[in-house]
Amino acid sequence: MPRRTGSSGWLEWPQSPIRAAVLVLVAVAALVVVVRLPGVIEDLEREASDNSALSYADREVAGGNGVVADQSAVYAARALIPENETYHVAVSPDFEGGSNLTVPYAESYYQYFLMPRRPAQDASWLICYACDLAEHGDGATMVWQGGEGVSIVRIEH
Amino acid sequence: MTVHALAGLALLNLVLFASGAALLWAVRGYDSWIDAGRLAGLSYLTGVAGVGSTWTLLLVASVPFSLAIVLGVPVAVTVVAALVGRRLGRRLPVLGSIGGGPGVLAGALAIAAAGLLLEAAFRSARLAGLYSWDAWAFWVPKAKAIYFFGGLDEQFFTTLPGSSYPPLVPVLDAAAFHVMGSPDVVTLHVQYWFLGVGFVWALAGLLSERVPVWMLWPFVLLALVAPRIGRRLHVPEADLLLDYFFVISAVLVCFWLLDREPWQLAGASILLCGLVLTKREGLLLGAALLLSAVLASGGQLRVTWRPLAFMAAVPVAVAVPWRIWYVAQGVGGEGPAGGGLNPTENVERLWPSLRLAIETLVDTGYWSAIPLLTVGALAVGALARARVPVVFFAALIVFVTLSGGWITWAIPELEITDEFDANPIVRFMGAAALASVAAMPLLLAAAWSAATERGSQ
Repeated sequence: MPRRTGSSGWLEWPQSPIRAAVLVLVAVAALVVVVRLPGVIEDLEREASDNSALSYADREVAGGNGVVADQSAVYAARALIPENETYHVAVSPDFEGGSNLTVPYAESYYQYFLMPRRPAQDASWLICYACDLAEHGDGATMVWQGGEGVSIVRIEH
Repeated sequence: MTVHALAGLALLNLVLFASGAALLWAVRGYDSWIDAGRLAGLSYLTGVAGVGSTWTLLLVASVPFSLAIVLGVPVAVTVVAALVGRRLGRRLPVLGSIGGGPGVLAGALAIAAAGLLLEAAFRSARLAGLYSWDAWAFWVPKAKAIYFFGGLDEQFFTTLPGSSYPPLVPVLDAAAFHVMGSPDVVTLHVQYWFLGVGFVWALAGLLSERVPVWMLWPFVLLALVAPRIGRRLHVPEADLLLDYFFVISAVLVCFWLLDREPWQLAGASILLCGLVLTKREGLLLGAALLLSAVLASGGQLRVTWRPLAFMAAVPVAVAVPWRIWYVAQGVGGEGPAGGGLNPTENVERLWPSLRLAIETLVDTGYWSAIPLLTVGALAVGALARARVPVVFFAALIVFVTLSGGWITWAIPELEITDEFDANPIVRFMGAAALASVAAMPLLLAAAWSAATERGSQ
């Protein structure tokens, strides 16, 4: 397989079955490209248009919109919990809001969204999905309540 | 997304390109500025791999990851490579000329078509949200941890999913956050778009040395219109970057088997450093590449094994520190729990696992016409007796497919399915599909040349 030195050899009409086969394969590839390219560009443009039509919050929360049940809860958590404090996400298995992704994935989504805040079991903040406040003693004070039974609780240890 | 964030990303990618261009100049030199422009994509990916690997090693050595490191490392790589190049007697390139004829027109049309698609991909990436589970569950959180805490934070790096995954992608993301001025996960998609553009440029630029324009671009564009590739260029995950490093290093190794120019192995070695630090599958793909080169060496193995061993030794050495770090943190290993080497275990999964890998590779729903045309190109190459590229790429595709089957077989928790959330087989087989894209024009050009030579005899 030599390096290319000029165009003469590449532009000759095929005189052997091998060259004819090469031409056929290149032609098929080119045909597939011609058929598919407009559709791919159209899909990308539609996606760009959909992305630009989103609100800032919908775009920033993105995958979390199907997880956190109440979008305002993630913003409230970010506003209320100082960056150097810890939090814990408690999702009751009985939580009926959100989607089937909420119970298994809400905790990991908050972990991503709230960084640099660190998750911890004995945290001073609780993001509560239908959890029982009484379990957290007298020091638990609800500081924010959103829709679908999501609340943010300050815990004095 | 702000102009500041986009300008920051442009600066980051410019310094990555500059460092790669200097590295290539040191190991290869440029005949002309046209030659340098043709290899600009390769320069960029070399810079990403070289600088990304250096950042990763510094992080593992507990050097705080700051904006000074983000910009200082590529600048230092550029200066050191330039000094080495000068010491080796490299000269500044001359102007050069593009040439003329119908090839230029065909090339311009093809580049315009690729440009249309990449421009649409940019607009899609510019305001994209983070939807992929892998991205928000661990790739980007790891990047945020590096950005906010300046290092491999023990809490996050030992508890997030995929704790043993190498950190080059989170490091690259964290570098992007630094130059953007904030952890802007929307604009981060543009960084992945840059990587995609770099790959297309690298592939086309490298292959254009041996493949005429009319034979090259249909296959490059074919990759871009494949459903699993062209529409995912901007997704902030490691899969495509892994494939980029793998495919470009494979092309360089194939060229080296033909030309024996040392810079080709040096370039491949740098890219393989990126490969083994991008995903744990990188080690498997690197081994497949090395084995394929050994097979394609044939009777020349006595001559080729030393340079090939040296090429492989550098990425192996680069991969070790990260493995030491996570083992020291008590994180489980990267391989399957049982080792995955006892063929008597889970015998009933052996054939279904391999069949899944094969079926995934030939699925036109993922890869469009790539698999079908690859079979044709390999057959034509074999008929034309283009032994080295045929053996090398056939072995590469077979080894990657066997590796894909091995992953499913060796990890019994993986279901035998191509569902994305139950088995990574589609992600993994992307390496074979993209390698096929590089193989086809090379094989066909070799066949065309062989037919020309025979016709003239």
